Amino acid sequence: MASRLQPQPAVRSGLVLLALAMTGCVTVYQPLVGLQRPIAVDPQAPNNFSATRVLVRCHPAEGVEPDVLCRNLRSSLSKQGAQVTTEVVRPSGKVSSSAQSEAAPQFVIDVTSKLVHQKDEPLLQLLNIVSLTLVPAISETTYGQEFRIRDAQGFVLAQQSFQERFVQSFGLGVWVLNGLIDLLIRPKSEQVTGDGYKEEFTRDLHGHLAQLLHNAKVRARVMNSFVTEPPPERKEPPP
Amino acid sequence: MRAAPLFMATLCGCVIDPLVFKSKAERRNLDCYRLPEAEAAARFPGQVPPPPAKEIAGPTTDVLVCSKRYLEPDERKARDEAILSSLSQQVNELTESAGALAPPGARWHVDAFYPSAPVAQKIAVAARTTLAERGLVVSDRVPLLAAGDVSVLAAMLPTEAYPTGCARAFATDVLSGDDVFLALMIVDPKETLLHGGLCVRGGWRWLP
Repeated sequence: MASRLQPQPAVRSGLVLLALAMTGCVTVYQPLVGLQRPIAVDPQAPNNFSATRVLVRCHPAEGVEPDVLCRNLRSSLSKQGAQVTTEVVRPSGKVSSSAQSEAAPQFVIDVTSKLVHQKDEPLLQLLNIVSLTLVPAISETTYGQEFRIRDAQGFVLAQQSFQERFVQSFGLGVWVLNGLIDLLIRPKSEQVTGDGYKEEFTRDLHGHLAQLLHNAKVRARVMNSFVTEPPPERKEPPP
Repeated sequence: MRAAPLFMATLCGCVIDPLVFKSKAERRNLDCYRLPEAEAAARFPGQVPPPPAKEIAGPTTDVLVCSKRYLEPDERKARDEAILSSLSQQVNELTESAGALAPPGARWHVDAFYPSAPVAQKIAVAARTTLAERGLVVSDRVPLLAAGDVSVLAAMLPTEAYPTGCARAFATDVLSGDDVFLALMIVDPKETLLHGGLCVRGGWRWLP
């Protein structure tokens, strides 16, 4: 009689699969250093950097993908009117670059991104598995970025460091609970399920890069006694 | 039932991150930095438990130390907030450059040129304090040009106004040979970086 009440292995496996399929992540983003500061430029404006030639150089580091970072930054600056080329420095020291611009860059942005801190709770992960993800597995990751902007001669015009932290909770319980709160109580801007954290971080990082580049442009003008640079000489095609 | 995860987390020595229960605005209104656990325990006794002896000797974990900012977001204008939140760093860098260019034993005068008078005042006071802390002679008198000079300078571009004002101040004895004048300013409405210029014996120089 008792054995009849035990769920069949297939049913049990189905329940496990259903639980895993419904499981989701809740990720909370917190700007730690620099990113929570306000900015004065509008990073959505299409003419912030018109006629500005920029080289974005991304350096490798543990836990980050410099290719993706470089591509995203290029897209953001291009939307603001800049002519952007990118270079990804490989751990071996080799450099892979996007299409070369006709003229030399006016500004070189060196981006170093690194994994600052990572913490997982092994016991919570174990409980997460045992409880079919009802108990959340929590992991915490902190990344840092260093931006340094130089002019064509190598003079450092602006530099800033940023740090941000992501706390990720994985599990059915935390996901369902937060999903319900998002649905019923939280305004859209405060929702924690979904990819809102990525958008918020990207908005912060790209906004600060725009501000830093704007500051660098003004500083370059001051250092050159407010002399406006003549338009770049185009390379003549060979006859 | 809802307390079960919290109970289990506490039981296994993990701490549920209090950040999870904060709103987005509250999270953004914190200034945070990481400290080694041993140092955090020494600086915040009672709040951070001391790490086990084996961790002090070996690799240690970090503690995230956060403090709420004095002002709420949007209480000041974005540019003012951006400049004031990095004021000490910016002023330190500019006064260091200025100190290297000025003659020894000079008497320093400082003024800031910023659209908001209260913020300009804060910038000037920060620069005077930093120079005084370095043992330099700092005057709290701001050199004032005649009204006619000021109206002419106001119509000029920064590239001409500051050098002309500097030369004029020495020509009219507002500044003497022992005086140096440090000006801190912004020259673009959207920038959040202060610039500096130094006026020595009638000659103006932008600070690197």
